Amino acid sequence: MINKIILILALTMLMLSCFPTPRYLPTNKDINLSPFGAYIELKTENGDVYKGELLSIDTNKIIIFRQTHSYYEVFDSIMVIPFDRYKKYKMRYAQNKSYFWTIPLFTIFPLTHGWLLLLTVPTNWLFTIPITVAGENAYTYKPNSMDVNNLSKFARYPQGIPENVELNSIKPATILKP
Amino acid sequence: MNKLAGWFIIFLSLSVLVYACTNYYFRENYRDVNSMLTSMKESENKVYLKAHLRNGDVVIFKKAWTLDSLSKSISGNAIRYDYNRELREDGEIVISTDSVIIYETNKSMAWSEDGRKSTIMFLTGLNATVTGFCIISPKTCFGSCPTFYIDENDNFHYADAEGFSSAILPSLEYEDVDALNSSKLNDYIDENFIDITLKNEALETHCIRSVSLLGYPVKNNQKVFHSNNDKFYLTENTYLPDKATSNNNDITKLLKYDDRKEWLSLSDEKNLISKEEIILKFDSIDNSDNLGLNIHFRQSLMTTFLFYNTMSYMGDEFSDYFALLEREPVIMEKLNNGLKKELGNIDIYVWNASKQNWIYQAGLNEQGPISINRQFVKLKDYSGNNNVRIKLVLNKALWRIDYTSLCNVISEVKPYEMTPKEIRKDGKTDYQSLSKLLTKDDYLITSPGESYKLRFEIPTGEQRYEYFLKSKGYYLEWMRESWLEGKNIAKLYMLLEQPKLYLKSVAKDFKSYESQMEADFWNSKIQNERVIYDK
Repeated sequence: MINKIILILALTMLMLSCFPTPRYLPTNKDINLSPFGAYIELKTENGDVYKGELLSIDTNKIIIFRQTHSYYEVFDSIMVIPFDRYKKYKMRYAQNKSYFWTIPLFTIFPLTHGWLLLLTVPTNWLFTIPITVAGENAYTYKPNSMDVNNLSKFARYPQGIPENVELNSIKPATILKP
Repeated sequence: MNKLAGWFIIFLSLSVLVYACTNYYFRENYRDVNSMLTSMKESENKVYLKAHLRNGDVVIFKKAWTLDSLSKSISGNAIRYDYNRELREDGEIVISTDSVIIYETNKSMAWSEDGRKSTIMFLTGLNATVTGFCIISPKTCFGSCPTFYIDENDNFHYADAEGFSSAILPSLEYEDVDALNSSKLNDYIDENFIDITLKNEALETHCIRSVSLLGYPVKNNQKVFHSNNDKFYLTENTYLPDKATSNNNDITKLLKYDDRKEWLSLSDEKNLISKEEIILKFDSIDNSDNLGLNIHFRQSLMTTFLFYNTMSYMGDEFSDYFALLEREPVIMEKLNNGLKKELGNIDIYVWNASKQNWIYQAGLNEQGPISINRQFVKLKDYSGNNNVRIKLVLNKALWRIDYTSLCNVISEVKPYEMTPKEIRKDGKTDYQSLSKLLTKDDYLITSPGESYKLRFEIPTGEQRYEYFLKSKGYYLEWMRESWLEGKNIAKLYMLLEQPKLYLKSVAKDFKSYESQMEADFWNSKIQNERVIYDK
């Protein structure tokens, strides 16, 4: 039984792939008010991974404000990646809410249920695990949910980099004051 | 169990897939204002507008906005950021449509967490309801009295025996014999040892003086039964009822098979004292000599309800009253002659054709709603060749009946008694507990949550045995905080002095409690069924 519990929790952890949520992204209520591009993780044919704010994307190139530190949100270099090197992507456009706390809470809660916990714990897991996984994956797109050609909608400049703007003059996204 | 776990993982994976694959499509881009307006007419939802300008600026309209096609402008309360997303304007803004290169529309996503939040609220409500139910009825959730298991992984609804349920005080200590499912027990024999798990699953202190296993060898077609007057009978042949009826309902299927599909009627909402009858017809008896009735039964949750009510009426004087009960046998006698007597036994009658009368045989009464009692009554003064009629008279909603059969008594026998050879607790041999169980004047005292594995050495050889579990002791119920609020001494006195009136007064309460409790009790069971007949 303990093995099965460990297996279920391990599977849950596996499903909760650690896709970061940069703080500049809006909450779900403010999505329509954010002037910045979505956060994208781009994988190229040769295995390179680029993460950062999506500035623009067209059939020739993908431009991102790269996050150069894997943990701290340091965006300090603009990367222009030829479109033909693109392999796959994952994108987040809003802050997600973590529901991970529901799993331990609704595992402990049934201790007051006596032997009925044999039913209530699995029932709780049937809800809390999918909710947690869904919460982690909320506000994201992958190639199977949105074609890469439609990603421009989530770029800071959906029209492409404006002609009058020098790439190196673009500043990274910041947290907007309400 | 493995199969169940497999299905659970499959169902969980599917749920995760369904949940996790939810995507929101809320944003559209338009190159010109006309295509945006056309699309918006088709959309029923309110949309928010974001105008991306040719110079890289963006104007985000906070709420309403107005498009003036004559002046080719859009106006409204908005925020304007430059290409570096530094704030330029905040307030009423007017922009020319010629300066816009992309119109971005967004639908509100404020609702997107609602589904998950509602599910958590529902789950909280569900768990709180179960918790509340367990507070009201701890016996249903946590079991009661010492429970004994052949398979230690079984839950208490499948307890193989339940020790001395009526012994709620030291003075009420008694010896209890429960028939075990011998064919199940045989499957668990390891060489010539069998482990019986003893558990304390309730908020009670169990004081166990002794536990032993009784066994008697039988041949094929033979069985040993324990009777209501504490005798053991070796029997042969089994005759199942051809017809069983209650209130003109055919309940034959429920009483014909030893399958835990039990018959139970619902209570009378006007009075808890309400008798009913079950008529059993046996029409194909080959040998009518020395017949005995075998009956599998247990109590409903009515006595649990009444017992907890009694405790609740005592409130914070609970221990004083229990001490009084212990000191004054008269009061205990009042309880026994009052409530217990009014609710009565399962009274068994047999039809005597020559006397044209029902002849009383015995009254069965074994406390406890958990394990099924298998009791036997040797019949007397009946007539008939291969037809026997039996009548069970019992209080409505008090008893669950699972199985009835007749058999021929060969002789009265005395089973062998086997005391535990070893006791293991938490995987370690517990010599002290063993010594306490084997010493007549000592008790093994167990607390809630404790579990002991009792190892018995059983006779070797090919001979098949019928087994019983004998336990002796008493237990002390723990007071629950929620019960303190229900203190009602007047009601307590009514219960003692006027049991008939009391049982009438709580009939309605029990009725509402019964429908909820019985439903939860049975719905909580796995692979089991119940059938309730209500007149």
